[in-house]
Amino acid sequence: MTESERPIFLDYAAGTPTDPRVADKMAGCLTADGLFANPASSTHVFGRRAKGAVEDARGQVAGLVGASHEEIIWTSGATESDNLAITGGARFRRDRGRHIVTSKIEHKAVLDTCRQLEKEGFELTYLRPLAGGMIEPQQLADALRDDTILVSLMQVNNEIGTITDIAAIGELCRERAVLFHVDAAQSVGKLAINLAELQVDLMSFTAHKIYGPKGIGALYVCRSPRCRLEPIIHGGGQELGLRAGTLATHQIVGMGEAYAIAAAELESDHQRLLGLREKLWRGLSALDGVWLNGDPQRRVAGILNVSFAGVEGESLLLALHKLAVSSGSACISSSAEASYVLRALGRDDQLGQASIRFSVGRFNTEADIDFAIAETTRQVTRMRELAPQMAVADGA
Amino acid sequence: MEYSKAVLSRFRRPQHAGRPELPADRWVSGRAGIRRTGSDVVFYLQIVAREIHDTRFEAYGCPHTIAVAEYMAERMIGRPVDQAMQETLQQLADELGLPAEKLGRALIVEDAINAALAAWKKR
Repeated sequence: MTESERPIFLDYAAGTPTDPRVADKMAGCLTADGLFANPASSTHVFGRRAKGAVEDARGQVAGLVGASHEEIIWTSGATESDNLAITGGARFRRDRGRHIVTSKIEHKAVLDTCRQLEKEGFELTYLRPLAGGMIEPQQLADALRDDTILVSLMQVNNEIGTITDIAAIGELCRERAVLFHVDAAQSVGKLAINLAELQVDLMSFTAHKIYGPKGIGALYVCRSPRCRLEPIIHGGGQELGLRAGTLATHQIVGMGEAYAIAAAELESDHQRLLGLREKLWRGLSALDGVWLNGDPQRRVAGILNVSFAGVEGESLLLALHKLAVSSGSACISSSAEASYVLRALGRDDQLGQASIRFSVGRFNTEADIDFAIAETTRQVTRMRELAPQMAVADGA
Repeated sequence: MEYSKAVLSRFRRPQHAGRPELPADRWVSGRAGIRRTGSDVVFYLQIVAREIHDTRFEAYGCPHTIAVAEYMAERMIGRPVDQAMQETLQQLADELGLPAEKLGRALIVEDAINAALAAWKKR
């Protein structure tokens, strides 16, 4: 792929490039002149220095989300964090009850983990999103039962970018001593999170959606009130016995640096991304038959999900080959059926399929957005001109 | 999804797309497919002295639908009307690299062509 053939990257919600400042830090943890040693090797200086870097990074992650140092457990990413939180939390509490609440619009890492727990005898309630794609606290209040032991909800929806009120939901859970897990893969580093003030027991994080490396994540495990989990990976007793396995110093240091940068630049990044997203929406909404998916106000800055009437979804995605975008969610791009969340917004299958998730990030420019508006307008217009006028039988 | 070069070139630069210019009485048309299930194709034929003189199509559908319509529009020009549709489904699949799950889309294009031919016979 030559530079001129390289599409404009507008898929930051699926994964971000590693920030060069992060990559520099990581490179210092690999070779013999760096922090290469096993952080568990406390008998020599090499191991102790690696351990020091791991703990500094733990502090950087904790610092971004208002947690304390010892509340952060390293994992391989948000998927593992979700698995540990949900499976570990449910299994530890199985004697108290068997009921778990989540929603239909969670990431597969949560939904598939919940389905596995159903096979183990747990009972699941899957909340349906309301208008605007929202999961509201009252829905949860109505779903809680005497035997509910765990609630798992995402803070920001990965398809449409809507924000769930985790403060209110946390209060409901804490009142009833129900464990509350939040998947924060799409919100951390984009929204200000202060776990010292939130009534959240478990929160999943990843590095690669905020300019850190892939293959590293963390789970926040609340110390007060103390949240207990049954480990799902067994071995050398690392991470307080909750997650065995040699710590990947370079990945951890990368995640720490990415989180430190996010903490320093959260507000300026937010304002810039908001400006780019609003510019993109102004440009696209100049076309007829364009619909914004998701609540227009309660949404994260970087995600814009748009449906285009009168074009077929697969053709639209191929026509937009000069833009690296996704159809709803990277995880469902291959699905022929419109996503559940878009159908819940009242979009029919045709309009749901003709939906594009644009997600902007740190390295996008105003020129990228100008190009995206022009190219999308050109291709949507071309596809519409190619289509016959609607037949009476089709509801024209 | 991966697309063959034959599909990509016809999807990106179809040469026979669009409603034909007037006079309308020189053209017959046929339509097939249902918009809400993902395909809606109109095929236009200009038939002079029992020979297909020109073709056009309009299509709402996946890239394979558009590519099959363009391919048939290219191939049919110059054929006697009673030999208009010579390609089998397997030939279309082989020529264009259609995956098995998209063969039904080729049938919709074929239905639109047959509907246009039926309209000509009724004249």
